[in-house]
Amino acid sequence: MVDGTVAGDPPASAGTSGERETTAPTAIPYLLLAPSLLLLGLLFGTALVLLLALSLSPGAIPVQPGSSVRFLGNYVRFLADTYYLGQLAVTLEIGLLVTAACALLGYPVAYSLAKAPPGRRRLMMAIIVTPLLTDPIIRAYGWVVILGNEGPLNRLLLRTGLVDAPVKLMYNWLGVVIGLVHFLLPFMILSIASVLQKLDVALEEASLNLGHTRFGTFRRVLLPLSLPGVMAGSTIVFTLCISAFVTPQILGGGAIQMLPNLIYQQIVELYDLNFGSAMALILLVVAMGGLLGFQAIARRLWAEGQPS
Amino acid sequence: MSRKGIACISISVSCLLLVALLAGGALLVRPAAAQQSFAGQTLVITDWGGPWGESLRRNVAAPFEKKYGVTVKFDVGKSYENLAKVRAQRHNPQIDILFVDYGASQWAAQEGLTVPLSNYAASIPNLADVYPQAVAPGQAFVATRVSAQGIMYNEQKIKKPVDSWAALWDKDFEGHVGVTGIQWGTGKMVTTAAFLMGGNEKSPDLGFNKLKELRKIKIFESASQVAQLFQQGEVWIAPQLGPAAYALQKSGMPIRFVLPKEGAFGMFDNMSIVKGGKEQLAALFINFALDPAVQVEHAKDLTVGPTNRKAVLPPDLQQKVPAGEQIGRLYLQDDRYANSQLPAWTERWNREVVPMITK
Repeated sequence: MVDGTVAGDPPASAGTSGERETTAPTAIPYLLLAPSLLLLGLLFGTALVLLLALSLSPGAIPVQPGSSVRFLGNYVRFLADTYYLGQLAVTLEIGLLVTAACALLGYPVAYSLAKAPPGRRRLMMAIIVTPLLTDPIIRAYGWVVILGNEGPLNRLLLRTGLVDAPVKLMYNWLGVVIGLVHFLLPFMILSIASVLQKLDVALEEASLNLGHTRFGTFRRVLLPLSLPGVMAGSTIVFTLCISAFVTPQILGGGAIQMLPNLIYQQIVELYDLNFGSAMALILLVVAMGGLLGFQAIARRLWAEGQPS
Repeated sequence: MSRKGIACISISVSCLLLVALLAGGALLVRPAAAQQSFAGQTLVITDWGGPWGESLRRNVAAPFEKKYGVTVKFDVGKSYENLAKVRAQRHNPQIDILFVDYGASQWAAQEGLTVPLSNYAASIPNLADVYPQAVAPGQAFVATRVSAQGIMYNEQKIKKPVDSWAALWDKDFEGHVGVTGIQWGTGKMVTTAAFLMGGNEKSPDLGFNKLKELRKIKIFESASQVAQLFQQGEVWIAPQLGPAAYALQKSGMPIRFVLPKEGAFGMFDNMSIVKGGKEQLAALFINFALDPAVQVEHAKDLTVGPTNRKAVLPPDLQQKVPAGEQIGRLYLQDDRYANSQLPAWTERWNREVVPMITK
């Protein structure tokens, strides 16, 4: 009896509550957001203010003490130095390279994931997500074993006679890129797949029916429609990549010093919180810039992709 | 009411009597009671892990736990990482003993994160028998062991005799040379290079100029990292600490360890009492680690030098570790000076030496 009424009720009540929400806006969404906003504001905001305050005090190596740039000494030390600007460029280059590689490698996987029947899709998902479940240090050391001079990959290359001497696969930028792509690829695949899954199959079929080749269909129909996914994935991959620390440290073998590694050096090794904070804020601004840049590109491409 | 009062008083009196009795007993058999009072407590000490941690556990921590009925926990990391932890816990210390290299120990003392050993002089009688080189000024901290830093090389790959730091610059080994990172031993690599130019840590220009002659080097930050590089065949020759080299040799690698003629470094591992931690128990642990018999066992196990002059090693071990007179022959870098120069050296290192990895 009781069960019966409950089971019968939901559709009707859901409909009425939906109408009520649209007619009379309530504070509920804001109330629901409040805890997370408060938490973010307190934790993130306080940390940012502290970071900013620290960065304005002179560090271990002050720039021209007593000059007009007294408060900005740490920023001047970074921005007026080709070495630090160079390391910033290296960080961004690796970020872009990894993002591009993830997009190229991730798209086909995302496509087959979206097209797979539910059973196989679940299996594929599990395989794709696995790298994320491993500790980054263990993951990086796994690559150290594989990519080493006497590792299985080089041994295979030597035995097949493709190379005469071991190929340098790590302790350089290549090792860092391989490690980061492995780490970040799942984010790209899942972002793209989530968009591709929602696309109407009829659009693809219509395009093929109306005379486009498979490639034309991909270029003119699928790609423009799935661009938001690519861009969302790129945003995640790029920001995680330029703030990556463990992978470049281990697979770069010290040869690749990305900005996070230099920040670690200043803060943990040298305890120069002031210069370290300034570098962290510079990285933050650059990451935000990158994010906005990606979004601008996405919006333009999206607009171009729309049928006129 | 009055009966209650009497009951209360009699209970308090008997309690007082009991306390007095216990106190009296404690006075009579003081050492035993002092040991009793720590039972169940946990002492936290920082450590490097690997063969160091295993040997410290077996030879120092485990017998200490047994003697005092306490638990000793290790907080593993590199020296500067463990210093960072103690800094972060300044207001609520979780670590009782900071066991790190000289540079980090000195920072901790300078920033008031640790208390001088003299505050607990009565608990550390063994301090009187320690070599003077192993005790920091003002008894800020004390070394409980000393390793020699020399050259480790793969004798299968390198057939020529190696007796000088110059071997790291030998063109025949190019591409297979490892050098220690700038943090290692507070810039020891700069000093090593300066040795070859007739200088030392006070003449870093000489060191950096010599370092710039290196090509295709591997830079490593920890003894375990260079051990791995040897196992992978990436590195054939590198500076290394005696205990790490002998541990690798024991594992079956074709390793040789030599003390170069220009001077091997004496590397002290120092213990400090963290301010606001379990200071008294920490002092007892440090005294225990300085005990001659404990030091001999630890030395035999880890192939490391003792710092207590009463710790007498078997003859075969004396060949391998810095002990007795040999401590005087090791080069002791002015780490106090090196510490003050480290930010500037790091800046130069990033620009002038790191690019040599790929050059």
